[in-house]
Amino acid sequence: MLIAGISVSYLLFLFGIAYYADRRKLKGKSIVANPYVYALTLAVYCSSWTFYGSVGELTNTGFKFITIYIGPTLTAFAWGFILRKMIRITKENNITSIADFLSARYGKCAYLGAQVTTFAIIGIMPYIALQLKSISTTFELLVHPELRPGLQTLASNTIASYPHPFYLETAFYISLVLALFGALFGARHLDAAEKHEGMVAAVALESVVKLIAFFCVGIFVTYGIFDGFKDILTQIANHDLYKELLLINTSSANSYQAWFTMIILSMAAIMFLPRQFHVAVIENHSEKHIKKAMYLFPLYLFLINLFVIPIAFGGLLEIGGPAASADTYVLTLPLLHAQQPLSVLAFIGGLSAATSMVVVSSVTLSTMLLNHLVMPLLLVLKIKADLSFWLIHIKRLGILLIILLGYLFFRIIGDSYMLVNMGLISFSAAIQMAPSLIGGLYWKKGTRHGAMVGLSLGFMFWFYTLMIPSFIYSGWLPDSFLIDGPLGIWWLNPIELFGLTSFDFYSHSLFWSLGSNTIAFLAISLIDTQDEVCIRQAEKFVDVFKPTIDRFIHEKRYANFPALSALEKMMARFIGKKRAHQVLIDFFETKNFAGKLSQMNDQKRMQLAAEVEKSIAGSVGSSAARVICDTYMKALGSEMENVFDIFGKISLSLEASQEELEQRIKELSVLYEASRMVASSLNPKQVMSDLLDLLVDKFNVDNCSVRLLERDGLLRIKAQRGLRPEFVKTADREPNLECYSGECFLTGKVIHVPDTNKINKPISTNLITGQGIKSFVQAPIFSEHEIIGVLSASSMKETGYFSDKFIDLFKTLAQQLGVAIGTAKLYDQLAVFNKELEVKVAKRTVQLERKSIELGQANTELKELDRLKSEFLANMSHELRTPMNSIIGYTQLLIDGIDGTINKDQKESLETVERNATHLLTLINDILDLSKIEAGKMLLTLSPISLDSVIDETLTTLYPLLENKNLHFSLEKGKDLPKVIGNAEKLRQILINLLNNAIKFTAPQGRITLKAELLVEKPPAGLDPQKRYLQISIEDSGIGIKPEDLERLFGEFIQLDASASRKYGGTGLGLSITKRLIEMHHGIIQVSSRYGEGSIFTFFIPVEE
Amino acid sequence: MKKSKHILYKREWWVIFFILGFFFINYPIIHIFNKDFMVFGYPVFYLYLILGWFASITVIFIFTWLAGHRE
Repeated sequence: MLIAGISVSYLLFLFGIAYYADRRKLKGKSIVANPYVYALTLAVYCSSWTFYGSVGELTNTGFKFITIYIGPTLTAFAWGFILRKMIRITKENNITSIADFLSARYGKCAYLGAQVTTFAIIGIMPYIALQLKSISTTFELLVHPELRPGLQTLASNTIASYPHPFYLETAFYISLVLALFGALFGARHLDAAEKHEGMVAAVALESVVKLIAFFCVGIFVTYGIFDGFKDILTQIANHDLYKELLLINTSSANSYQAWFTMIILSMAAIMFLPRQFHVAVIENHSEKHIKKAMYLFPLYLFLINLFVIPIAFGGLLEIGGPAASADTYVLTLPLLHAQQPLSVLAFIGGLSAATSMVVVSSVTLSTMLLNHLVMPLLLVLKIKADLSFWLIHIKRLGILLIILLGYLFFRIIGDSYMLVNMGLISFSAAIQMAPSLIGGLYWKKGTRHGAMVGLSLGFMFWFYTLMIPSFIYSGWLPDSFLIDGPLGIWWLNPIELFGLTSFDFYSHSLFWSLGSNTIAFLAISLIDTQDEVCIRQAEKFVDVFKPTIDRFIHEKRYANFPALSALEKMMARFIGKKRAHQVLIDFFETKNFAGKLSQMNDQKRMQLAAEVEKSIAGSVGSSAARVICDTYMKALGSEMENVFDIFGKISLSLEASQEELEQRIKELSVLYEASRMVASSLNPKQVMSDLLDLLVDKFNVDNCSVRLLERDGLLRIKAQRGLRPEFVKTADREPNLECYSGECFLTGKVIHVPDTNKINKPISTNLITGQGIKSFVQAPIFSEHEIIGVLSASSMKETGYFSDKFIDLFKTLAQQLGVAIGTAKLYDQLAVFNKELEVKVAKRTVQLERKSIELGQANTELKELDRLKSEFLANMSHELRTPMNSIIGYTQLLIDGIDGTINKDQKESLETVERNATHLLTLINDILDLSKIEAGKMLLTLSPISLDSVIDETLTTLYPLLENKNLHFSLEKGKDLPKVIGNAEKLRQILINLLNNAIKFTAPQGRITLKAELLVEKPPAGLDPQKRYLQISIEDSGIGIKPEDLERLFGEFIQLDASASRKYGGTGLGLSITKRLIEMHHGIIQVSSRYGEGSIFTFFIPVEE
Repeated sequence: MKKSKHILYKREWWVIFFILGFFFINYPIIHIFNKDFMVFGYPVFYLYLILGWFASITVIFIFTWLAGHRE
């Protein structure tokens, strides 16, 4: 009683947890929406078959048991792809179970759903019985000490030894409690898309409990009874009887082939067992949880299996005995060592493993049963009542029924071979889902018939090769079946089908069932055709991650849509009034639409219908929901029809609801944007091409073209889409009223022909009928108020394809095109002009460059010539000076009478010779100076000198001249003049030149003034403003200089008046040399003069700093 | 570490590891370790299974962790 009490208390505790989780969810603070709980619920995979069975299996076939847990680890690698996709699809379609998933994928096919459900119930029900059996066995073991090892009683004989009536058996009451739990927490709402938070919380907790329990026993055995892993393994390795268990491939049961089969089976089981699908997909809260579960769940499996090996081997070493009793080593080992509490903990762990599996499986199966077997039946019976109340109770009843059936199975065939091996038989059934499910996820061409035939064949072979032999082993069918085959037909032997021998039991079955299943699915899918619903569902599943517009919603409409209240009422029958109302409110909220049904367009109605169907599907499964909605609509006379059919029949001018207008504005703005982009291109060909692509892409027109007026006066096709080449050649038109494009071009009006059967222009007929055009529209292309061509679009699908709104838009697009072409033409002209200009500029540049080079050459030549001239002059002057000096010298000797006396006439003549010779020598000296300067040969050594001495010496030289002409000379000199940087000899020459000129050009009695002072103000232009300068000026009252002559005053050989040369003498080189000399002193000379009154020559020489 | 472009962030790794795992846990690879032989006092096949399994889980952990960083 104590154990029973503990068990029931534990289960009640789970009720509490579940209740708490549900309450938390209502408050919006879910305790299960996290990856850790998600990973723990996945551990419902570890049923009592793991908890007890793994140990037993290890003592039979060695390490082969581990494949059952390594397989899921491998599958976890693919979860990021497959599981995520399954979850996304499930959420988007309100899918309720794996049967619903397959049924929805293959066109919401009710038969497929029913088929999968039936197979699942056959495959899983015995598995539930196995769990109940484990509870019963272990319970009996705990409360009846005489059954314990050592008494040589087989654990599997428990039931036979203690044939309690069912009302006295714990397992029965536990079954009832579990059914109650399932009914309360597994079927709270009808909408299966709602999570079962309570159930999930309890399952997760049970996963923790079973792990802890197993761990505790494991640690006790490994370190309490033995001396660690190494100790146990070494003992086994040295044990003659058991050491084989450390290896595989020692018998047919653990051959490499069997190993491979187990890996494949377990890889599939973790995804396709209905309960695994339920916890992994349906109960998933967020796709993000997958990532953590990908390693947490395998880690869980790893941990729980870590101690299987020591417990099994420990049990063998401690207890030994027949293999069947090894299943309960987890309990018997602690019992043997009088660890009562530990064994109770182990029992609770096993109870957790069993109950979590039973609850989840029964809820899953019940959902499938309701949606795919009961619902279709109710629909066939056409029950009109409010089903929402009944449906939830049917579901709860289903849970009870399944658990009780499981209990019944256990009572009847509890010890059969079949039940004991049911785990792997279930796995073999689950893997049959793989071809159509994985194919359905990634292959759009997989069809309903392919899936149905594949699944049927797979299950048929599964049943024949696994279940029939199990029946035989259980003694329900004659053994002869397995020896001679049924009815003596040897090749029908279920374990050696078609003579296939040398395969182990499960590999043999897997080969035939999965092989035939896969091939049938692929082959039949390839030859099968799909209807629209199937194609649509295939796209929805395979392309679930692609953002696609549901084109069916655009292409279909309801002819006669029911009122909202009627829809709500219909929904309420299946999901209850409250939820039905909520669905409608949610729909209008998410669509941001507050209007009435009458104002909804076809698309909205299609979406609403889809939403209604989806919400019903959440409660009764997709196939039933589809039948319900279709029947309902049909009953109202509202059937779905192709939108294109209606276009031809009825007017398209719908009253534009506000929402529709908004839609239009959106559409227009998109197109405006598109056409703006088109217009911004400057390549007319590109513009036309873009625009035609736009028409094809956005409006699905079959063909379209741009005709432009050419110079030859024809409207020629410049760009087109969809026209056959033979028509393009003949499609150029003369612009006249005999053809449609001509009419459009001449009248400038849009031409719309909704039905080409009624055309009346023979020239256009050939193209239109030849191309198979049913309706078309043409719009003129304007460029700057002038029509330059015609834009055409046509449909081969339907008459009346083009709506008024489209035509408006089409007209606008044609205008945009015109603008773009016009702009492009202008741009072209501009480009041509630009090019011409560039050529001209280039030509001119070349000419200029050539000139520039010529000038440069001339300049060089001139410079050279100049240099040669200067050199020549310098040389010549030198050559002339020597003889001139001789001439002067000897003339003076003659005048002085040294060579004998001369008479007066001779003396006068000689004096003339001497004068002229002296003048000539002066001239030659001047030329020599100038040439030296110009040839760059005169180098001055500049040093600080006092100007006073220079002035004194100069005046000494010139005094006689001043006296001769009786001129008034005054010297005005500043006090303490600083030294200047100069050459004394040249400075003297400068002063002499300037004073000489002054004396020369000043009449007797005139005035000459020499001033010398430090420049205090800013130096004049041409001088370094940083330096100080001495300013020296010579002022006279001479003849003066005309203003126009001032500029050329300092040129060479300049005497302003040719007659002056004769009158005043001089070479005309004096000022030029003076100027150069001053410049060589880094100074400048200026002159100012008033004609007839006098001149002032001023020069500046830098002073010593 | 560069974001998104790193070689370890590619999704194809999962396919490779899946295939590798499948090879490592099946004949003929397991035949290499299925020997009556002890390493550090443990049966070699036992060690191979336990360590290989744990390594697989570690690989999943590392690559989901990397994927988490990618996002």
